[in-house]
Amino acid sequence: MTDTKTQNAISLKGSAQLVKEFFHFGINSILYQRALYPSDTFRREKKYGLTLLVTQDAKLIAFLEPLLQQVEYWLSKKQLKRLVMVISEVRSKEVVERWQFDIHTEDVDEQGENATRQKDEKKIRQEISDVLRQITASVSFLPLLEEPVSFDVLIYTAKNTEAPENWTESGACLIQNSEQVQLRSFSTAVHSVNTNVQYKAD
Amino acid sequence: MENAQGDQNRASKSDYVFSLSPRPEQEDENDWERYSENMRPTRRGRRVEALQRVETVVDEDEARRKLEEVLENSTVEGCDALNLALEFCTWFENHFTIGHHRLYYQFLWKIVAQPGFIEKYREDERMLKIWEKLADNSGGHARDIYHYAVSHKSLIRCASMYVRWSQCNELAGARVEARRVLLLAKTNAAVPLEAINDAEDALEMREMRREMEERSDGEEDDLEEHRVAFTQLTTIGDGPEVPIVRLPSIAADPHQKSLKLNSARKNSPKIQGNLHPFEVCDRANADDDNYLMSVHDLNVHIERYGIKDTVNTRINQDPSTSTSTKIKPIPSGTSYEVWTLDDKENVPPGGLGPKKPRIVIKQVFKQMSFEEYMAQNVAAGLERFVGRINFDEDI
Repeated sequence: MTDTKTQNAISLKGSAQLVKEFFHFGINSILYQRALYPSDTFRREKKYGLTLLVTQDAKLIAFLEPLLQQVEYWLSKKQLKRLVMVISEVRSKEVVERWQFDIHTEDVDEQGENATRQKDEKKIRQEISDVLRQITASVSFLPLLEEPVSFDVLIYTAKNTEAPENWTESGACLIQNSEQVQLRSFSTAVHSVNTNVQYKAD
Repeated sequence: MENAQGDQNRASKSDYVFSLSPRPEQEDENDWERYSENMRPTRRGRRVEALQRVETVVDEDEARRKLEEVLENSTVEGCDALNLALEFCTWFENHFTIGHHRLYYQFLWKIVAQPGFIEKYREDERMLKIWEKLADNSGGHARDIYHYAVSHKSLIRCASMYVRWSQCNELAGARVEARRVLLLAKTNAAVPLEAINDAEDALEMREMRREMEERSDGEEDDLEEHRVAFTQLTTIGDGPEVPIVRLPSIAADPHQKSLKLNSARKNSPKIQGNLHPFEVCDRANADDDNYLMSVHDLNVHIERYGIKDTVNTRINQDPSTSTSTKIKPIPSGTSYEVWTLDDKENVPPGGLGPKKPRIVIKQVFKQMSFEEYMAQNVAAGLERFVGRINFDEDI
């Protein structure tokens, strides 16, 4: 009985790792599905019972790795409120797609009696796989990206959060008159992540 | 006791956390993912309403009625017919989320074929949406659609039009044509010029990438086994190799140099079993409205093939440019269809049509390959052309 409880207990730090892992695969899936990078620069990886595609592009990895490390740090400090992946046209700078991940953090302590929550890890992984599967399925309604596009990641944090030096402040990069589709959410019992995608439909 | 209370508190908090995730609501019947597999991706995306489950099913008759309404309203003076057409397209795509390419294509042609429609919106960039939809539903005739549009001077100065057209050519493997289309865009002073330049750069980059990939693949292929071409075996390109897997369609290509099929055939008066080789007819003119309108009526991948009748000199002279010859299907109950040339001259007085070469083709090629057949049956004919060398003879 005690063993089962230990397996299902999740701490703030463990939850941050799980959510970071979700962002890693989520962002890579979006980059692949939306053809921001050539498909042959991605390799297959089995995760959550799915075959996911992860970039092999050295420059992209060099961008994503420190970003995700910082995200994990903010998650473990309960400072991350929202992560937004913005896709915009290179020529006109117009935002054409906006993937928004809203994060709600439970009132847990980093240490002590109130440091863990109970949830089966298998269930968490199942929920994460549901969201990733929906990201893949979203190509059925999203418009084709025919112009050259680039992406950026926006982070919404608490007011007193300090950002690394090479980070800059940014606008919200909203899309006027956009369509918004809600994807499934998942919860680690410490962090819950709600995903939606906004886009311009004709 | 304190521990038990602590566990209860944690449990209650845990319950609260679980309730944060609105799982039951997500799994309701309006969950878009349930229907995403029945949704064809569209070039310009779908609205949220289209992702929801549709309670009322719309049938083709209703769609026809709606189109008739749209066409009727378009005739009203001062009415924006293009806007009405685009609204109809959105409605159609929302209600017919998958399939119905043929129906949609017919409807789009009806819209485009309205008197003066193309001329009225010649410079209106919204027309690109109509052409795109036509191209996407044309069953592989996208290039012809864009050709038709530009030849009718629709969006002749719109760079995006040429970029799409060029991409279609590239996807069809016609890379030289893809370049030509972008050059045509510049000749026609299409704007913005940057879009054409970018498309050219992207095209060349992809071409270089493909070239490099082909080269690296070729290096690996060198290790593979090749058959050397002897006698009747057709080669690949100018090289001496022949494919391991031999397809009759490749062997029957009249452009294959090594087989010399046509020259041998011209000299042989008759082939055993009345077997006629296939010949590729020239493609129809893309400017031809009737041809484009009926692309779904013809079986697209074989529509341009007819059977060459070696006896009929009229067709032999230039079958590809003959305007009086019509291609019609041979009625048959099988899944395999052969299209033949409508030729009343060959009908015998008894009223029966010409012998169906289809059955012969099926039977022969079930048993042997095309080359083997040729080796057996044309050998006698070839002997006439190949002289026997007598080494004892003085030259």
